[in-house]
Amino acid sequence: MRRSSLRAGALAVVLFGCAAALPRVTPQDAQRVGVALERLQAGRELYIAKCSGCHGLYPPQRYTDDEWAHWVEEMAPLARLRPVQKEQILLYLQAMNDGAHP
Amino acid sequence: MPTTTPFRVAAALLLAAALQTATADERFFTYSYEPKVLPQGAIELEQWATLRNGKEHVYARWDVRTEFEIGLTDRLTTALYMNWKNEWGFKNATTLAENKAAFTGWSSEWKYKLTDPTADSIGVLLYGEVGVDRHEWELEGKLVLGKNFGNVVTALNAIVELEGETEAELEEGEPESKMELEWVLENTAGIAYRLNSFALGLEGRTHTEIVEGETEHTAFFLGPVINVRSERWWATLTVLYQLTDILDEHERTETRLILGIHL
Repeated sequence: MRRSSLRAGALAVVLFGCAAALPRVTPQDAQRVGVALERLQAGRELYIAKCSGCHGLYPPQRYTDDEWAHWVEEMAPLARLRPVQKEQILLYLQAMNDGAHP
Repeated sequence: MPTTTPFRVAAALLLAAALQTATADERFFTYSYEPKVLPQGAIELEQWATLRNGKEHVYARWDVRTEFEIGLTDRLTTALYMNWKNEWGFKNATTLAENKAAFTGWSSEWKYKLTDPTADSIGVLLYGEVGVDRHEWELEGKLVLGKNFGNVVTALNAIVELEGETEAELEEGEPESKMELEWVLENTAGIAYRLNSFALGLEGRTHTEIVEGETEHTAFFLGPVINVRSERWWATLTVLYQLTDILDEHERTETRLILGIHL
């Protein structure tokens, strides 16, 4: 009983620790897409701050560039995004979705 | 306070809300909060309805809350609640002995998000609520934890409540005001799997009452939860069944529906 509780606890810790978090931007990402690292990092922070209150954060790989452009445009008024914030969020999502293609 | 005034205010606000363009929001549980707040400037209307029944003496009660929530910053959200109840006591299954409806006061809620349940290893939010009525007040604090694993959403809340009630009693012929204090400890937890436009899950809670330092009882509840959402609204329903048999203090079932509209 005690051993199985410990196993369950250890599994929970592993699951929490290894859960796929939102990808962080690296200097290599910034170089690859030709955008300043700080702008991409700011886009990630804005994505968390402005979008997670109303829905779960979707991984960037989920949508293509065009799909992200559509969704960010549609959600911007609802999340009270200013144009510069919208642009930064989109930059981050499109920079980090290299796995998504039409 | 006349009960018609809050009803009129709520009706006017509901009408105003209905005329606004709304969008989707997500709340996957009705008893457990998730560690998230509205973005700065966003406003949301939530209408709560909780039906409690199965308490001793064939008892049923509706609790209704109307909530207006606003994002003050991207981490801090506040909300104002108007609370009502409608209580029925039955002599037997078919004969009504008592029917009371009342406005039960206002509540102010504050939420501060520390970390995000998707972006960070674990989401953490601090929650505080103050409720006041003519003869009662309530302070409530919650530590809200949560983690999203892809389409699986989890939440865990540790809750402490302090309730005070002022009662006017006759002491040797003289009216005297007495204050009764009660501590309540609660834990709630939920797990849900989200699909495109709905989610299914399980939610539970424990409720422990402490009076004068002594634990009076602990009740356990468990039941299913369903969430549906569109671009303009969301609704979440939980049906909790009491696994313990403390029917003099708690209902056998609690059914809670929350409808949310993002203004």
